[in-house]
Amino acid sequence: MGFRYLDRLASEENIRSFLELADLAAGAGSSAENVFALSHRLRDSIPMQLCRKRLGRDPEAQALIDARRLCGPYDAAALQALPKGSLGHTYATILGTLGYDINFFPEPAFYNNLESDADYINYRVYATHDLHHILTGFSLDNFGELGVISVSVAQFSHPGLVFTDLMALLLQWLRTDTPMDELESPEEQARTAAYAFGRISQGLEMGLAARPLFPVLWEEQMHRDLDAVRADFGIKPVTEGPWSWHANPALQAALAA
Amino acid sequence: MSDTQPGPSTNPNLAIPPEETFAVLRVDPDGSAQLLDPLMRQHSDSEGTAFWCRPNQPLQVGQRVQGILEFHPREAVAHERMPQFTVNVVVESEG
Repeated sequence: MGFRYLDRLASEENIRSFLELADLAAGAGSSAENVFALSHRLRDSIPMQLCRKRLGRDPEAQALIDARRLCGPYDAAALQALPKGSLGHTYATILGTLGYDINFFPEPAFYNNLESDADYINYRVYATHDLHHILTGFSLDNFGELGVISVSVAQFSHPGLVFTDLMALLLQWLRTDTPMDELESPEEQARTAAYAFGRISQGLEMGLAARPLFPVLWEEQMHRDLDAVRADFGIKPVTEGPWSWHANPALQAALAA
Repeated sequence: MSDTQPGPSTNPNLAIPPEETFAVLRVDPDGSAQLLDPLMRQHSDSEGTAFWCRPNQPLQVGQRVQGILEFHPREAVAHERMPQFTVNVVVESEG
């Protein structure tokens, strides 16, 4: 197979590698394990070099990377016992109501026991991912996923999350044959390229406006009021639409109970 | 946070069993090195699972080393110096 402009890039090996990554990204909605694996495979990539350089410009982030500080394990019962409205109470209540395990993120062993900076970055990104949902307001189902990951894309170009954004745009563009406003259900709308553009844009803008979230020790913020934490870090959350957990009546009832 | 970090020990032989293997993450021009704890124990003074030390022989990034006698970092901080380490065995080198 010959190309006019892509001959150097489109080697058989590169094409196979790309398609394997694309396959993992396409399966992101089916299982988070695919995203973990996708990020791990990009640990030595050029985009990871960019990510490391951006984080390395922030002394707090670099210190955290150097120290290989671990996250959690989180005690769901202790967090739920914190005052209503606190970050910790909200975090534990929402994950509990959804039936999610609050410690569902890969152990250091999955990331080569954190032997490289890239391994630690991948570890921390996923160990704090659900907290980012709580902070940003983006829902913890597939409706809010592109929004929440785009916050980290804006702040430090995390390669696994950038690739997921790009593939979502491409794959949803390829299969969108109906204008979004002619689709009735939120599920159908969420499968369009227009929807992906919308959530990615929201997340990018939120990330650019906020203070760096990567180096924040969320364990020290759990007892604080969620709105106050958001204000301190310049996070303007999404609170409406199917892509926000704020708009989920079951979660609001659980938080009010 | 994890509560697996070891407490301060006055006996450096008790701090880390000598058969444990550490990965060398970084080496500074002055010879100080950053080692990663294989058991992911939190080291109180580095606030993480990796910590800086001044080994008694030159190390290279990517090496795996064994036979480490640790003066606990907290003790080192109290004496305003980096913890001294004896690296008896270089188990494996990268490349």
